[in-house]
Amino acid sequence: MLLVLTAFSVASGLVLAWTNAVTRAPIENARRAEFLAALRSVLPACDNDVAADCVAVVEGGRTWTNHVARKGGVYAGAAFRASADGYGGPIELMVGLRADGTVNGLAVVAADRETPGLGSRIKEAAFLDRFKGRSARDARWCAVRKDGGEIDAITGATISSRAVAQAVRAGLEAYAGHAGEIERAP
Amino acid sequence: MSFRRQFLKGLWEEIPVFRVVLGMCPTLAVSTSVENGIGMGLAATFVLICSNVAVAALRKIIPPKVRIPCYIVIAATFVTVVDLFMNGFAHALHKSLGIFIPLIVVNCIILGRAEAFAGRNSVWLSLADGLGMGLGFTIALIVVAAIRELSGNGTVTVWGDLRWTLPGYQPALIMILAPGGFVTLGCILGLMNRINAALAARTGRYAAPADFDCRHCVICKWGEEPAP
Repeated sequence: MLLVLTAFSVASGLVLAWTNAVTRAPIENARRAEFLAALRSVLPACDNDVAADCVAVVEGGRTWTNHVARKGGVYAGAAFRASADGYGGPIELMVGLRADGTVNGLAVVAADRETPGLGSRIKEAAFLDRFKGRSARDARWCAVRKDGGEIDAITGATISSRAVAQAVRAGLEAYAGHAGEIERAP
Repeated sequence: MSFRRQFLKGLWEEIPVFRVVLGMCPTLAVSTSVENGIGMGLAATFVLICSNVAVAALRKIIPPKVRIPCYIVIAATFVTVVDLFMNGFAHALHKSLGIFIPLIVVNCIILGRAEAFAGRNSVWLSLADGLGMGLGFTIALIVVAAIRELSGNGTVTVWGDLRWTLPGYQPALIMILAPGGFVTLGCILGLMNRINAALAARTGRYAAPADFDCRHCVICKWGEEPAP
């Protein structure tokens, strides 16, 4: 009885070790591809390796890794990850800025636990475009109207909309505080 | 007991969700889009086939006293294999199925088939049983998901961008939320009982309703055996 259980556990362990070895690289690649796609979708046109070209700044107790985009060696924009607690779980965003310090685009990296049809609508361009073209230097606009900002929340999904606005705002404030460092980084 | 019979029984006669009423939790949780239903169904089918075959092959050496731990180890191993492969090769789907892939381990269908069928039948018949039950589960998920997604979101997402939208329809959001799952499932179970009662009436055989328990109920005509 003991022998059989032990044998089962050992066999199971061997199968899992093999699976882990086979799938480690594809999982890593899939995560990286997802990350790169999000970076590209929010950054302006550029020709450098945005994944490797980053400047880390510390603001508000956390480290913000800014991925810098360059075109012909000239600063073209930056992107960073931002996150906040949504309605059902964490929401992860990628925020991209242009060289003039305005928001170029937003992408939702993960918001899988938001209510389908309500909170999940934060992934729609109609909502994310409300942030586009606004200034990062003074981020007071970046809050839902209920909180005194200028972003229209999605009807019935105030909590998810607020989480997005708060995440973006924290990131923009970090950027504004260190804009010089990020833009002049070699 | 032929391969064909064991396979077909999972598709109608003993279809896991609608007749045997097993696997309710994943059915209610992931049936918000057809894509999720297909992904969850196929993942569970794979685990079910593998665990059925493994249990049937090892049934002679598994001591009866520790058979449940052995079944669980087998199921957990295959679930982890599916989880890792799906994460690597179908990353977006893996993200949307989230916690429900690891939870296949405790899906009653897996342990139920190991205990009720694979533990006392040949590898060949257990393969048929796993295949039939798995496909039956997948079909059930797709049916529930199609109804919920169409009425609750106005779309049917088969896979990725292969999506069909119902034009000019104002979705009834509740259908895609948790209550909609219960409502849909309840209506389907009721319909299945009615169909089976009608079929039984035609052949003159008695058919038990889906939950197999009518002892306390005096309302409907299914509660009692028909006179011979």
